Amino acid sequence: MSFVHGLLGSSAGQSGEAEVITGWHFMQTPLAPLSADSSSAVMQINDSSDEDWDGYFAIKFLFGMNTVSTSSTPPQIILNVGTGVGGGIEDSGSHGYSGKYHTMFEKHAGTSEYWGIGGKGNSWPYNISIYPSHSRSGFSARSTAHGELIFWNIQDGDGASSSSFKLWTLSMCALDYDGNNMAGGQNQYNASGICEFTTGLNNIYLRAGSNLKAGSYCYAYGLKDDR
Amino acid sequence: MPSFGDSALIHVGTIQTTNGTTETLSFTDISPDYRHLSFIITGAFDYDTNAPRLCGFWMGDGSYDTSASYNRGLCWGYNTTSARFGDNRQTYATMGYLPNTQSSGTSAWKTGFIGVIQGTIWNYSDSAKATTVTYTCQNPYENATQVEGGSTATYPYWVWGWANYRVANVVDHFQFRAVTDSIDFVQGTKISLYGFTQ
Repeated sequence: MSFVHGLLGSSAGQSGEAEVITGWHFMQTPLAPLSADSSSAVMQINDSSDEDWDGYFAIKFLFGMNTVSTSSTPPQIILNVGTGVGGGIEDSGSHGYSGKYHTMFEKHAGTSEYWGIGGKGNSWPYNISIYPSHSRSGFSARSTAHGELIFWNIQDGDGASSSSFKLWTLSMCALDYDGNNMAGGQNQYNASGICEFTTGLNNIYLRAGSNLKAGSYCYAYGLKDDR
Repeated sequence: MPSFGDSALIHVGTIQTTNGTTETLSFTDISPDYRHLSFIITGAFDYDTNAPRLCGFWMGDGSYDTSASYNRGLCWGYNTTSARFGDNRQTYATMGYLPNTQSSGTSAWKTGFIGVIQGTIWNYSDSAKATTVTYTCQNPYENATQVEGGSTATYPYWVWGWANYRVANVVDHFQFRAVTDSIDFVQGTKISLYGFTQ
């Protein structure tokens, strides 16, 4: 077992650390706040030479998401990752039904609560009841879903040998203060999932099953350790 | 001394297993320079069974306290099942679950699946206060036979929990491991500590 540390004392195997590592760092803007509805915008971050992910073991998306959907069935979140260099995303086309994504969730809506499986062996977190807010009649234009999505273990400790898969957690609130006239309008979710990749991730890609509405945004933050 | 505008979190230490035979993740001589400690654990156990394994932690000043010093509370669940639990004056504090994965075992939960535990150790450096730990735990994993669309998904646990270390002292020791038996972590299991500046 290796024992690496920053500011610990004098136990065997511990040594000083030259550089102080601080907490979450701003990394990129996967989606700048939309000034208008968009038919193409996504929340996307890539490892590249000018935005190097080296040293980060976790990446966090803080996002707000609203869609143009007026369907009685609210759209769902779609999450994909990629291991290719240069922005390649392993979307449903290349994944198909290869079974790389497994999801669980806990949902609170008013006085009800529910736990379940949001998909196993799918091309993204399938059938998970996380709804972005939307534009259906009766919903406020300000009813945006807000969430914190964290990918852990993105690079297996920056080179350390590991066979562990990639793990994500999501806490999200889809709240509408105008009432509960539609499923998904006032829900709180805690979800997590596994992507069956052991190679370090180079791309994270978050969107909705409908076009994003003006005001949607996403900022990305990274967390380092010394492994 | 920190100044306004400094980062709130400073990396204190990371332990990552580089083999498959490590049973404990321990910090000793933790610096008292911070108000609270944030921690993140990612990993799994190398064991052949089809349910996640209960994890525990121990704290202390100069050693790991294994006496009846821990009050505990948690809620947890999987699939459509949930439960709440609490007790006091126990000899260890619970810290959620991590998956058991072993590719060669008869239960054969798929190797590579891991869980995550996040939390905060409150007031660890204040000798006048009891230390409290809060945490969340998520294990989004499934049996290999279920991965390709099997109908039964039983054990992707989630946990929200809390524990109070009743002794009012400075905590400079912290240990995390399976509660029972001698169970190895899979290689790559990791814990990181970050201190909140004050």
